[in-house]
Amino acid sequence: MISQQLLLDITKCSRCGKCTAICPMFEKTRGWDTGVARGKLLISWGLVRGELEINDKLIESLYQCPTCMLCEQECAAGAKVTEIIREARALVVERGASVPFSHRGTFDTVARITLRDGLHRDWLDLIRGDFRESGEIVYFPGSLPYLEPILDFDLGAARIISAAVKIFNRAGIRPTIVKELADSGHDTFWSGQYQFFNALKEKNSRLLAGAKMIVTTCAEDYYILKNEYSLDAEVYHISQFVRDLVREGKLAFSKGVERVTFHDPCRLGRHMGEYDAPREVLKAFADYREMVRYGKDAACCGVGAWMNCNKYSKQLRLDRVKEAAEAADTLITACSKCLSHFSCLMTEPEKVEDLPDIKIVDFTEFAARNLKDI
Amino acid sequence: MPDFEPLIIAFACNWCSYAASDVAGTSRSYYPANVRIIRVMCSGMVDPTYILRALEGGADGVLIAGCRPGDCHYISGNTKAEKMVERMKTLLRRLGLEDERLRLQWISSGEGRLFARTIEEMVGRLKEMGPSPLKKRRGCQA
Ligand code: SF4
Ligand code: SF4
Ligand code: FES
Repeated sequence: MISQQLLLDITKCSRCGKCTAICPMFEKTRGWDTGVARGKLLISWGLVRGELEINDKLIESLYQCPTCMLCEQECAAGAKVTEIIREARALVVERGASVPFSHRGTFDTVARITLRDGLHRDWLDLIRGDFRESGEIVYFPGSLPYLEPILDFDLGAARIISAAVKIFNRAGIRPTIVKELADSGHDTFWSGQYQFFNALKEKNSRLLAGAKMIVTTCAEDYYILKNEYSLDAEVYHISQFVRDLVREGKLAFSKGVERVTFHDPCRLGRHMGEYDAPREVLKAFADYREMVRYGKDAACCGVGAWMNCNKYSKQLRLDRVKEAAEAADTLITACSKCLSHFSCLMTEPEKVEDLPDIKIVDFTEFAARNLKDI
Repeated sequence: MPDFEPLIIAFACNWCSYAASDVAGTSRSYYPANVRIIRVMCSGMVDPTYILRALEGGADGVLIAGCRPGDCHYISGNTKAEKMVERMKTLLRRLGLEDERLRLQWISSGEGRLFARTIEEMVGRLKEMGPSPLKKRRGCQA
């Protein structure tokens, strides 16, 4: 149920239009208020008060937003836009509508399957490196092994997971990998399926009960484990983990000449406020360049929680890789989803007009590749 | 489990395998009644989610049947299906399901006998394997 505070937030919106100047989706969809925060707030209000009926247009409005938070941080009324949109989605779900997921909802189905007990998961053979299956320091690869086969391009699950394990091993740690873990529930949560999310959270919390420290390679997993779970363990994104290890002198890199830039995933950046860790690490060994829009003003990759992949989000992605190509030769990102969406765009160069020539590489993989023996 | 009757969902291409299932019927080739056939316009339109939803909904096995290589009416739908099935087999293994529950078979429109034999083989193999582990909770029986 949407809280009083959030409802009050909606009434505080003075319709000043600041969000219309900021929202990347609004710019692309050009025109209607249903495509931008202030309109979505009104729709949420109408939903809560029972004044609006649920129809396709309403669903499109609520779900065609990657909840990138660009508007929220500038909102004059201080409205918690993304939270309100999520709560409104939950109302839509509660009233029986289905979520307009991309990929026909395959990822949602996979999350449901990961909830089932008694399946003998089989993907540990992807990992090169030394790990254990129970212990206190946990590496959480999330749904990476399951995302990969669904996408028809090489996401590099084996490389990324092995890279993370390599980082642990170099620092003298044998990380724990629990293959029975369910999907983290990030997408489930942001799609407004709270009941389903709670089931995922319950299962994972049970499996993570003995953990003291959890490290994720995906920004969305980091966000959800840290914010919406109540775990006893400390949760870190791998960029923070690596930064700390470097500071402690437990990891070192060999200097490279590659020109790289960093794409801040919305979840790591604006949602969690972590802008520095990945930059500190990258600057330590690569020729680091900044894009025009970076840090708190970084553009969104265009898709949030597998929900709004369409021609507009594709345009956002294209704009972003062009921006990256102006700054560097390699675009580093620290989120399995951003990586999927950008890589997807790059797979069919013949189908995208003026696609720049740029490599898209995951942070974990890039860092592990440049590790040096101490 | 002596009396287990597996449920198979078959996605059959309109131009070949679906016609083959008809031929099997009209030529009175026997095949077990464990299969529910869903007609699709091309094997290339079978999406990963159809396979997962079928299994999630209680199917023990999924068959995707399309035109023989070179015969697809949309040129390359069947090659697309072949790649997709390979990836889905990987996904099933990673998720903890036997990849043999998913089968791809090229059956051209006259091959009613092959259609019948494919179903027979699948039923036999699925009986050995037992019910799908996804089935247990949502006991949707054939
Ligand atoms: S969260 Fe992002 S996409 Fe959604 S309304 Fe705000 S600026 Fe637009
Ligand atoms: S951009 Fe993302 S959501 Fe869209 S098709 Fe590619 S991987 Fe799927
Ligand atoms: S038309 Fe039969 S597989 Fe494409």
